[in-house]
Amino acid sequence: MLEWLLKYPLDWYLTGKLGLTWSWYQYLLAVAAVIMLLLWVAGYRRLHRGTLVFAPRVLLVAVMMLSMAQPLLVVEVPEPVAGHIAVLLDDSLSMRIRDASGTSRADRLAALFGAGPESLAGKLEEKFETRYFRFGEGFRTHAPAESLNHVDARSELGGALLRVAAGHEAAALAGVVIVGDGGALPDSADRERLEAALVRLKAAEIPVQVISLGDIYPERDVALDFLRFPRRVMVRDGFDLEIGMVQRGFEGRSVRLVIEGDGIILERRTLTLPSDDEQMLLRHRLSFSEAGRRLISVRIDPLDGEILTQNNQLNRSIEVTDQPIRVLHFEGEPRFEVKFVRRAVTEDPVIRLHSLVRTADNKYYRIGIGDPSELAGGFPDDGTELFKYHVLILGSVESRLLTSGQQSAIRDFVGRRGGGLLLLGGRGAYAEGGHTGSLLAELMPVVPVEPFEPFNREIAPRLTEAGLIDPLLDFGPAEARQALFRQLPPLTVTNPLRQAKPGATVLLQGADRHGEPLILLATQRYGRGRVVSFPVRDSWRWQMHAKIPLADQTHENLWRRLLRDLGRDAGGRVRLMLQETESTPGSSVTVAAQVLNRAYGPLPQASVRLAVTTPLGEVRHLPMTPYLGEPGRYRAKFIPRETGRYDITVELMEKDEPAARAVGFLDVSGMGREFHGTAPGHGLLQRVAVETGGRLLSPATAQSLPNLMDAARSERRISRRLPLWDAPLLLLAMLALVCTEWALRRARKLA
Amino acid sequence: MPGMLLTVLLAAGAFADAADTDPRHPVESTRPHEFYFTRGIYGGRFEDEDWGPRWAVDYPKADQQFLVALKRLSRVDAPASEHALELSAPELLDYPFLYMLEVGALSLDEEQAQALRHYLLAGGFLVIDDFWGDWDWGNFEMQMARVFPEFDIVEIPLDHPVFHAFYDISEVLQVPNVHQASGGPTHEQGGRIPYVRGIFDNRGRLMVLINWNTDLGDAWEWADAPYYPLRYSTYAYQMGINFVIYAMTH
Repeated sequence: MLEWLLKYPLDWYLTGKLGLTWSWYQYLLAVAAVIMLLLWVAGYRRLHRGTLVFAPRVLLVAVMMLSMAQPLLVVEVPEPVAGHIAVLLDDSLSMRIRDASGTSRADRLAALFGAGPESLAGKLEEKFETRYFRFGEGFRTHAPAESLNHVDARSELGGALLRVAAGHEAAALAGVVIVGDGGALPDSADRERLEAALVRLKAAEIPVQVISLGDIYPERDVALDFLRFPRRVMVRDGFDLEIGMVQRGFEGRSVRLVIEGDGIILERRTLTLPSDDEQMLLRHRLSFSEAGRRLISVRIDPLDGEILTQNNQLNRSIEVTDQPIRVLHFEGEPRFEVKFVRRAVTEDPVIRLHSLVRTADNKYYRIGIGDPSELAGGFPDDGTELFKYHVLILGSVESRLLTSGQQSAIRDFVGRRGGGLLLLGGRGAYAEGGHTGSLLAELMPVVPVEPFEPFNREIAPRLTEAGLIDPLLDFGPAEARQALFRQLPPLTVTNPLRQAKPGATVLLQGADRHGEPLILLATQRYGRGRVVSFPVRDSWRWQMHAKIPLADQTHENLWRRLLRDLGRDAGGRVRLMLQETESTPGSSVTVAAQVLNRAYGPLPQASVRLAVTTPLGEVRHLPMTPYLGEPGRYRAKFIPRETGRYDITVELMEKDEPAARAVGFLDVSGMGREFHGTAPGHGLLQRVAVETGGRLLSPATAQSLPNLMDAARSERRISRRLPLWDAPLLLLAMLALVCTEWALRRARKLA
Repeated sequence: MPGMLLTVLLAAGAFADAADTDPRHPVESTRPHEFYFTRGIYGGRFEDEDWGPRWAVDYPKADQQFLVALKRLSRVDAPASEHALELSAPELLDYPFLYMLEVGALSLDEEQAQALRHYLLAGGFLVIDDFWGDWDWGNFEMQMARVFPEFDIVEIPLDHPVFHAFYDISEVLQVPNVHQASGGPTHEQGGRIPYVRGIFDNRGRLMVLINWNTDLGDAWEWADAPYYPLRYSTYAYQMGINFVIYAMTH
């Protein structure tokens, strides 16, 4: 009754605020009305001689004016129920993983969302309008009566959430429930979709509740977690395979690991398994002596009683290239370094060494040139000729020997073309050669000492902490490196360098006679390329010395490693950017490429095409479209249909002919990574729940979901301005005042 | 023209830098040179009290005069003074260029043979000069067979880079000793035809360059003598500079 009179609950009056909606002119009118009322009352009193009769009328006018002022009640109230609940069910392959009792993640899901009033689905449907969706490889609506297949090789959670969040605008969404195991997202595209979905859900304040079924973990399982190695290596380049594995239930047992390259066994290793859930990291050194694409497989022989064997093998491809690295070695004077560097790399199948030696003023001797015109005018005057090389070695070259144009070309060679620059010691190098303050000094990873004072000392090299692990000095494990460099003879230093630039890494150092450190090998990136300082004048002593046996290969290996490493980033005018090396059939793959002009600047509005060779040998050509706002970047998408290796070629077309190209590959597997990384995926799911204001539940606590969603809903309050002018109490008050006045008038015989 | 220049150079600049001693690291404030003209000291037969040991024939004047020309005509950073080392000295490996002559009397002991083998296989370069006729050749060939039993001595064709590293040499001349330079036959001991031969390792790298039936060292030594023919001294210097540039770059 009271609520009917007040129009709203009494509590709202106690917690809310009252107000009026008048503007200034309405207040002005009210004041005028009050004045007129007072004048009228004064006249009324004279006529009727009494105050009792006019009091109800005054009050009536006051109540009417209050009503006209449109009084408001401002209250914070729970948001009214609107929209539906979206329940996303994981339909991927990994849901088939079973625990020791034989219960799979899919079984748990079926138990929670099966038929019957006691099921979680029933309880949710009692309170909410519930819509079901399945996600895996793709996303679609799901009828509760329909059973899930759990055959999809991908869990595209990001895509599913984004679809739900985007659909919120069309159909109001009150909440989201994810039911799945939270395996790793299949690719970076899905990670991007997940980020976009989270932004939308947070903006709309839609909580995502998560029921993680990942707590079902195989009790007895040995799993390969990952297999890592460079996507591309050069022939005879040693590289490490990194193999991650975990186990549960087989602690202390022996297991056999097999590494294969194109089906040929490269390594067999027997391992003792660590304790449960402890990740084991294995390394295996590998190299290939012939170019081509190789499929590297790592597998563990299944153990007795192992529940899940699908995660015992990982396959990945690698490209072994013999694409030449063209190296220009320029010396301002004849030096034995020329001879010994040539000697060190002459049998390398990848390195093509072109030497240019200034033998007299204005006289150059060219060695290893390809045609008579190469370097005929001495050191290249501009980038056109210099950019033909991948690595530049500058030995004893005085600053005045290089024009400012040539120094600019060297800077662009490193910064834009991505070439490698190696700076040796000598009387024409660093401060002694007048390089302090030169354009070349800008590139150096070290600061040349000024003023230069003659210096000559044999320095024993010592590896720094960085040198122990840097791939540039890849002479085996840290201990082996340390031992090797301890026994190498000292080298002559005449360019003392003591200060590395910020961002540079010192790999080798020695000490002067005062024990002060001297830099012997330092490196830093510059733009797209890399610069190495090796300020010694006779690295050849590591080849020709009484302490060095004839069979020793340290000098050869050092130089091959230096030049290969420096040439690695000097790509061509088309640079392929494949975000993924693995995919699954039916998933969209984006291929991006950076295309450069002949000066290695961005090339917009070029004709760029993508050629995809399927595992069946079919070649498809697709045009690549430019990215908006990123000149020189192009992309195209394709969807692989078969499993196997896809060869990808991006070509820059000029006059209908390929002017430059880049190649890559993509491994398409039907299994994907669904069974790898089978540990509970709480990390990802928890993040989704926390960021959107939801909760992470286990199957055991999932029954609290309906109440939780109710509570979450009741926590969401909105501010409401409620009109009071038509409250029954006001109308009754006016009626009562009219009646009172009429009664008084009758009593005084005025009516 | 290059010959005239040589004469002037030798007259003006010889011995100017003779105080510069040979060690690669004399004091910390002195920079070592890139190149040292290192003469190999060896024990040999037929040592002569009047002429001194055979390894030291023309020494040190030939070496000094050659270095003057080398420094003036090229950008090779070298000291002006001679530099001689025993073949078995461990520090020989610090000097990748080695000159030996009068090897007709060469007699290597086992230690020297092995040291020379190690030196050359590690990257050293040996220039042989001033030995004549079949008897000298036979001795030298026998000695080198002890150093490199697996490698043959072969002819070096004129299109080999050693003939073009600095000067283009189109003809192998017989350079006479100073006593036969002023006329008459230029040969000695029946060695009428000059040869430039070499020993290459199993990767095709030239390790030993052999000047047979010719005497470059005498031409270097006597280039400043007015009676020594300019043609021969010019050729000798050109060949010597080519050898050095080649040795430093190949």
